[in-house]
Amino acid sequence: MTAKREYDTPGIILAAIFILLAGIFLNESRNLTDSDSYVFPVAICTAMIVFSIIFIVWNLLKPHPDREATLVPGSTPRRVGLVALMMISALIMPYVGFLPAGIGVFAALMVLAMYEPWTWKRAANYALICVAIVTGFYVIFDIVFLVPLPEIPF
Amino acid sequence: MLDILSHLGVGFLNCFQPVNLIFLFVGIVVGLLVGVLPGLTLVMGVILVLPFTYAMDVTPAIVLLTAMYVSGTYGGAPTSILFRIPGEPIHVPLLWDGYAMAKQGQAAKALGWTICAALVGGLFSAVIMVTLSEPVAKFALTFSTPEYFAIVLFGLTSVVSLGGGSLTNALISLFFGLLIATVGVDATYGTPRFAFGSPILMDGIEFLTVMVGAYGVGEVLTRLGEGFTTVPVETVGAMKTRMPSFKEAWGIWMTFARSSILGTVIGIVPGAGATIASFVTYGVEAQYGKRKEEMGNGIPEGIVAPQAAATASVGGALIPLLTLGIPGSGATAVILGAFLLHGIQPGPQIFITSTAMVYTVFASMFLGIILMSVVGYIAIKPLVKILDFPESVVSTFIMLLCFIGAFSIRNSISDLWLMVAFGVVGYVFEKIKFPIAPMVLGTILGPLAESSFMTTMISFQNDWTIFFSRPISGIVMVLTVIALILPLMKKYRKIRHMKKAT
Repeated sequence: MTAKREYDTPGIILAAIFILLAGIFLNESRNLTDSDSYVFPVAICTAMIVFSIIFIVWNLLKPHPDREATLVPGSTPRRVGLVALMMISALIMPYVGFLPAGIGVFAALMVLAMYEPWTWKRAANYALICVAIVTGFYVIFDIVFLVPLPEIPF
Repeated sequence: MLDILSHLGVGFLNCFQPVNLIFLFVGIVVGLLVGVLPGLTLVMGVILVLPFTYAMDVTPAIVLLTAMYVSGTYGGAPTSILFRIPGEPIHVPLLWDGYAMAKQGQAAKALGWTICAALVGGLFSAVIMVTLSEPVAKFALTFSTPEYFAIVLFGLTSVVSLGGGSLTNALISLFFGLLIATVGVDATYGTPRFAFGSPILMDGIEFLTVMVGAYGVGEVLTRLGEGFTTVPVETVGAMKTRMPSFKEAWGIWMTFARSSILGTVIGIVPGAGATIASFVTYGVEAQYGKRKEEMGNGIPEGIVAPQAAATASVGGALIPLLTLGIPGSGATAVILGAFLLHGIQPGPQIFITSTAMVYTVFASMFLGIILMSVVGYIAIKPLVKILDFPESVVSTFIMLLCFIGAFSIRNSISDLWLMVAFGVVGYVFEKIKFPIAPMVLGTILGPLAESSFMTTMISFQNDWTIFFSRPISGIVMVLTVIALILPLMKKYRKIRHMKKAT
């Protein structure tokens, strides 16, 4: 029985993205005002393109029969949700301040990360934990360590 | 030597100052907790604690992080032995004999051997670190830019070649990291580069943002998608630790010695951290040990070898960091970041400019290892109980720390965007088997590599052969080439072997 030929498609796509990225950087380096400033980046971009091409060619010519070519299964909506939440919090934090944004995002993240069934007791406990942790962090960093976390604007 | 001892004495006195002692204790406890929690790696733990050090003086900050680094190499041992749950990859070899011993009803003894191994390995490497660091730093003072470039290059390639997996993947990851490091203002000529008109990129990309994103957010993304498993910890009530007698320990002194030496040496090599040390020494013990046939059946040698080496690697890894300013592992990269945040560039000069701080850190290693053993011995029950903590809270807690960590680096919301972006990059890398470590080390060492390369080119009229014609840089360059070729040869041999077998 012969093993099924599997291409490392995600890897090939990533390598292609790297080639594109290095190309963009190479193109941009032509606009640099100091000619010596591009020596190092050009060398890196060239090396990145070369190794990405090697990666693609190697994978196309010699597909690995035993290679896990697909992403590990899991809850994609939760992952996307996490990224979206992080972006939303970065967006709103300057306008609403660290404390409200932090509590909101922390609560939403706990809901997102919860794999066990919710009960009233658990929900109340988690809400308390959420407020306590975010407030604790705010006190430690903003008041004790004097890190200027975004303030409530009103 | 007397100088070193007197500096160390002062270091011990500094260490006993309440603030240093408190942070040493906190570092030990947090490191142990990080080690216990599966999925929360040592590097990630050190990254997450980093924001707390921003407002501290440099000495307690470094004491805290190194204490975490030391105790993190032990933290996962109890769960590995008792429940077959290695909190860290470091502790995978430990469960082969540790868990087997626990199953034979000797869990208390297995835990005792682990503490004993961590104590001996850690103290041995601390002695080596203190003895070697100053002479190495003095030697490094004679280095010029070609030597520095050669050493940085060696550090980068070693990380790539020792990182395991595909060499091509690792090289691509490394070049991506180096490319990230070129964004912002060029340090040599002051030219703005690759900002693409974006104010976020104009100030460059902080390597700490890359680390927090790739390791922290990336890890939470992975855990979040895959779901969490609650670990049954019913046997907590029966947990005890029994230290081996001196006679028993002396009976396997060769294992202690061999593993401590190997662990320290592996720690010194850039890219090879505690995990490689623990796997390699277990392999060496299985090949050359007195009871090699019994390895895996629950013998003390199988516990002592990986644990002694893992803890010994810490002292080794701190030598290149402090003497050359080159981090060889993820955890030392974060410690380097803490130094830089406090305006101190590790390297040979700090042995002259910050002698007291360096020796306080050295002294804290000795105290930390002893303290870790005591805490590990006493607090085994509460330590293991940590596994009961709800995962959703742990993950959210990590995210909050990532958030504050990334923000506090430059007090900039832009860094939050970059952190999220690198979180996605870290997750994608992890999933499609591109190693993250070379990328991170590329972003750290990139500016140093570029500035030493460009300064050499300016000083030696663009003569690139200078890297090979000067004795020290020439030797290091040859080592660099060997470090790149060796894994290729190994792979070639493996393929030939497989072809022959089929």
